[in-house]
Amino acid sequence: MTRVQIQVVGLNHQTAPIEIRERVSLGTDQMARAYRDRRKNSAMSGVVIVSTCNRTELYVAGPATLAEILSWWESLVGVPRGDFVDYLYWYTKAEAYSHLFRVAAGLDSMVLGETQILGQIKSSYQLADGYQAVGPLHRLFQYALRVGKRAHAETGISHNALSVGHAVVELAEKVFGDMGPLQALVIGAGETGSLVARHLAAAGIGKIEVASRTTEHAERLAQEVGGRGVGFDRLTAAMRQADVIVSATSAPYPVITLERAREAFKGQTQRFRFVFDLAVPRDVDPEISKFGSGLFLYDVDDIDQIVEANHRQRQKEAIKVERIVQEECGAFEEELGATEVGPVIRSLREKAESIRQVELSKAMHRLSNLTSEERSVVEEATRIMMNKFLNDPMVSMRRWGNDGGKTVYIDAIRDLFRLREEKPPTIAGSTATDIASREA
Amino acid sequence: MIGSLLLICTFVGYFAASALYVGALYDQRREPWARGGVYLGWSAQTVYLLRTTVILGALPIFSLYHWMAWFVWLMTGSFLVIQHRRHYAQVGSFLIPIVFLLWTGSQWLVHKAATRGPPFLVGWLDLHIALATASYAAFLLAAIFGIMYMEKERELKRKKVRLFYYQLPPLEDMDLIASRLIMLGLPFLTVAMYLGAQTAKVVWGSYWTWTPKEMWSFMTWLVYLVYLMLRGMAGWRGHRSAIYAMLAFILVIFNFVGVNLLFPGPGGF
Repeated sequence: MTRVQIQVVGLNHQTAPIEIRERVSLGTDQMARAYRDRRKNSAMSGVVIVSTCNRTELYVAGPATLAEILSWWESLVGVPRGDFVDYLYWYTKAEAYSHLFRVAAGLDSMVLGETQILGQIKSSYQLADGYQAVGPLHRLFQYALRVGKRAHAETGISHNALSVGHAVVELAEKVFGDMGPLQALVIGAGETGSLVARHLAAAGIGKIEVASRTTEHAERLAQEVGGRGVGFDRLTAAMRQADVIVSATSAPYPVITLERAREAFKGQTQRFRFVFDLAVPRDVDPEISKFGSGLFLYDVDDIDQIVEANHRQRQKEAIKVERIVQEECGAFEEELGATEVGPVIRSLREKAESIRQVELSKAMHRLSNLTSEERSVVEEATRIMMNKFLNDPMVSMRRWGNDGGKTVYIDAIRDLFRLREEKPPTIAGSTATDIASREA
Repeated sequence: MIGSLLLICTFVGYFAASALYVGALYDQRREPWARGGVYLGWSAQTVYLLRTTVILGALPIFSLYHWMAWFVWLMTGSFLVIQHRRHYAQVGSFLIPIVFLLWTGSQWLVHKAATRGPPFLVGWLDLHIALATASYAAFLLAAIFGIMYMEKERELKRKKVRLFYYQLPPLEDMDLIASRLIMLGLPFLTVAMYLGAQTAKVVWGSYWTWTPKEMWSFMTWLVYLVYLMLRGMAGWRGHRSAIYAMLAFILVIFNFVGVNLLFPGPGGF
């Protein structure tokens, strides 16, 4: 018996352009076919396919060659392999584990540290498990889910906003803390205005008002985010009440002029207020920040700077995540080694123990006049003898388990002691649904 | 012997906590260790103060040395309460080093327990000092929130975020906490001054004797009262409020260091 080979073949947003990625990705139907298919191929004892818009990866356990995996993939998506072979990566063993762990932690994502991929991996794993296709990959994916969870819990890899919508919420929270009691005014119901309004609503802001030149647009967006539409004629009054003001109109002239702001913020010089100017050309006169020491005005460039700083922050955290990946990789390899030698060790022990029991009972039969104390001495002696004799081989075998070059010795042990064929190594500890419910 | 051992534990605990809390601004994993340092220093100090109380048969607050120990103990204790709330662990990065320096500096003061006041005053005088101390502790914490506010606000205004943007609580929360601390400290100081006046009446026959100590205390009281009025009536918030809290504490420092050194006289520290 040799170690189960785990490998991954795939491509992602870094290696392949979108035209290729969309052609070779697998939809739910194709995956179902794939999982049914693979049973025909004994070289693949376990398969999990992870296919998202940014990556398609085939995790395979078993001795299947790269060519076999590729021709399988080719047949599933109907694209000749010549078209995508240049964009592929192929990792085996430790490289494959650490690749999956890095993906799960969001290190390999387009948006560094994003959490969506972890959910996608989980559902890919569950889907594969539904078709009983996971096989020896169970523990690998359980480890991957754990790496993802640890990365988000123990580091700040997923903290700090990397998009405009998130950054607006984040900045507002840096000033106000709790969004619950706040009131927002979104000026302009276009693409940006809608996006930010949705983010503010999702962050649990107390009240949203939407103002737009076209009343229907304002009403529609207001309805979507659970807010209220406001006519442009009431803009100044709405500004006066708002804690967070987001302006994103397509107007070619400033909407929040110096005069309007002076009127709106009159007598509120100390009040905390955050004004976001997300329009180009700008909607807000930059001079308005003089109307209050508690007034913060950020334009698109300023938000970009924050996002950039946040990105640097995540990169710092990524170093910590790499450490977690390495740690878990080591733990996984160790476990893998132990699972391989485990059955051999167990059957060797069992064989020795059964010989001992048989011989002991024969001897006891002949020594029927021993006191119970003497019997226990004899019994103890046989046990100690057996343990001491087996101790060194056990230690060596455990070490071989983690040394790829020496796994062949384990086969030799099996031959040498004529151990009965033990069950094939089930890396599968529990089912995916078990894990999922535990994870949740 | 036990006394010096406790002092060493206090020193080691607070020193380690100071270094680790500043380090925690850069890597939050240091925070639990820093808290461990605070627990060590604070428990050693608690035992020390209890022991001194038992030996003296009264609260050890009758010499500047002992009073400083009591003040540091109170500050650290209130920090241990505050830091339970998410976000406020970072207060330690500002508070603990200050407290550590105060405590270490106080070790050069005379360790001897000072003579106590006339026996018939004992309880009231204890209360007078304890309340004044509590109010100073609240004012110092408010000033620290003021510093933190200013640091974070500066990063937000300059739009170049580095450290404090990520680490410190939201501006409005810091602003609110500083004001609540002053709201808490002012009544303490009021009662302390009232008790002080009563004591003065008994000892010197007059409620008010125009000593520098009394005048500075009164000014401090007035300044904090104005702070609350400005917030309540003139709607002061944020930036100005934070600067005010910081400047006001300079008065407190002068009150309990400057006046004692420049104008030694009755009324203690």
